[in-house]
Amino acid sequence: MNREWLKKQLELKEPEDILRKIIYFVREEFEKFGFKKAVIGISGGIDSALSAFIGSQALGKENIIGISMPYKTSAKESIEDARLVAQTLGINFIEIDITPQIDAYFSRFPEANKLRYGNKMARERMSILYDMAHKEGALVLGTSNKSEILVGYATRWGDMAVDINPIGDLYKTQVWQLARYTSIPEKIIKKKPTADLWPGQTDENELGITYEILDQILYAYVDLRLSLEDIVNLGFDKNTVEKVIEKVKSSQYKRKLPIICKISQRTPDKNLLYFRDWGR
Amino acid sequence: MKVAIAQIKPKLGDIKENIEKHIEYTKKAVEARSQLIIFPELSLTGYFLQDLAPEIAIKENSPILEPLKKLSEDIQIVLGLVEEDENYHIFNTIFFIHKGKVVHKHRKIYLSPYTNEYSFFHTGNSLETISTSIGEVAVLTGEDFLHLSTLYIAWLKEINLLIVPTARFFASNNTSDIYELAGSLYSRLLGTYIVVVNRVGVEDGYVFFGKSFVKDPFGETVLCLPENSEGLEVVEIVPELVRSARISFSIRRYERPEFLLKEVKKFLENEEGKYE
Repeated sequence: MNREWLKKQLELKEPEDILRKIIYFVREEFEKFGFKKAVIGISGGIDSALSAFIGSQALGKENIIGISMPYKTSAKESIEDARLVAQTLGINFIEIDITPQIDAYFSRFPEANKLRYGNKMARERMSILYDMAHKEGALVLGTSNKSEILVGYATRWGDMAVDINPIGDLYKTQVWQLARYTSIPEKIIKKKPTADLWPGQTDENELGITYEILDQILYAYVDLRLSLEDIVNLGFDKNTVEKVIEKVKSSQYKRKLPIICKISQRTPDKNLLYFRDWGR
Repeated sequence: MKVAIAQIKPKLGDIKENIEKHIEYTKKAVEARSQLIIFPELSLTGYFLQDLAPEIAIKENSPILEPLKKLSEDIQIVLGLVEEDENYHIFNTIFFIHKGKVVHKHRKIYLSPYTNEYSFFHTGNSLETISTSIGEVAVLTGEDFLHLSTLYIAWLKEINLLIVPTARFFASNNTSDIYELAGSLYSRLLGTYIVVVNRVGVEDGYVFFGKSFVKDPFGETVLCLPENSEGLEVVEIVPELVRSARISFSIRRYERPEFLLKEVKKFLENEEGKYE
């Protein structure tokens, strides 16, 4: 067992089959809940592009409404890439500039740091997506991938708040791999991942390691259940592995519902063991 | 024999910090001249482990237990943890540590179905006793104490002290604490001391309520710790009281295990044919 072996394990063995399953999943879940249309935030990045592709395959491109929601500091390239994705996929497309509402709020708090701005933007985008979903009679399609969900690199009740997430169980490197089996333009697949919440921001700078290494460590820890020692022995820096595991641990709260204090035998967040698809 | 009850609040998933707490409480118990200290169920790990269970499991010879083994010269330490055996099976286990070694263990037999313990632990399969200065002692963990079969074995073996580590949380404001009821009843029926040690603290909204208690062989409450706070209390176990209780209520003498065996055999044979 070494890193080469790990890298091979991470590769999806039957990417087209996986794609088919996810498309089937989207179609089934939408039908169960009685919806034909989906709205999705299009950032110009690979995750939303893949999600939008899956959505259009499952529901028909005419039933997908892609929404680009730039802020004044968003990279011009991101806005153009968003248009490119929508054009290539042939989906409906709206641009909504969120600058007025964000700036209106922060005019009251001029001292706010960039993290506050970033989270506010993420939540404003969620807010818009849900309003548009209501308007269009649609559900919100998510775009968070497994790597970012596991390390908590997503805004709670922001980009994490969606109805259906087709790519939440795919690592970033697997998203790149799958994207090659779609019509997503090469340019989008190749660009540096960024949340674009402030100028010059890149995921890999924020996280401190490349997705390639992150995914290997995550796969070893989460999927193979290897111990810290075993992972380090595979050829990773101990400090790095510890940091990654700590990120997974400390972000668990983002993946759970709010905690309710237990008083009765059947507490709503703990003992109502029915699936979402109950009766559907 | 002086027995110390350690009603503690473990930190979920943090063995290192929990060991520190075990050391702290054991030292206090030694100061109070206790010969035995009892911690709650899964005291070393916290309760709602789920996927953490295999990650936090340790073996008997784990170096993590060294500091406690060092303290165990004059005191027996009874604590809860996740144990892994040589077949990679993991158990909800109670260790007795004395004179630098694990001298006895109890693997929980009747796992809790309400909290999905069956999904994460293997079941234990035996009820052994250990000899101490006050006689034979046995452990029943959590729901082990609510099954008649395990109580029966404890009764058959005529133990003098029944140790019941638990991790009980508040789940209804409408029912009495069944462990308290069972404690009062069985201590008198068995003529034995029963010590139920429960933890405190909160995990994801589950409130562990403490209220550890000790019943004497006459069914009387000797000690009861408060709700929701950590604490160490010491109680005196008197073997003469066991003798006295059994002389005055001696139905154990007339118990017929062969009758039980016969009836159980019959029942199982009936059950076998039932669902064909």
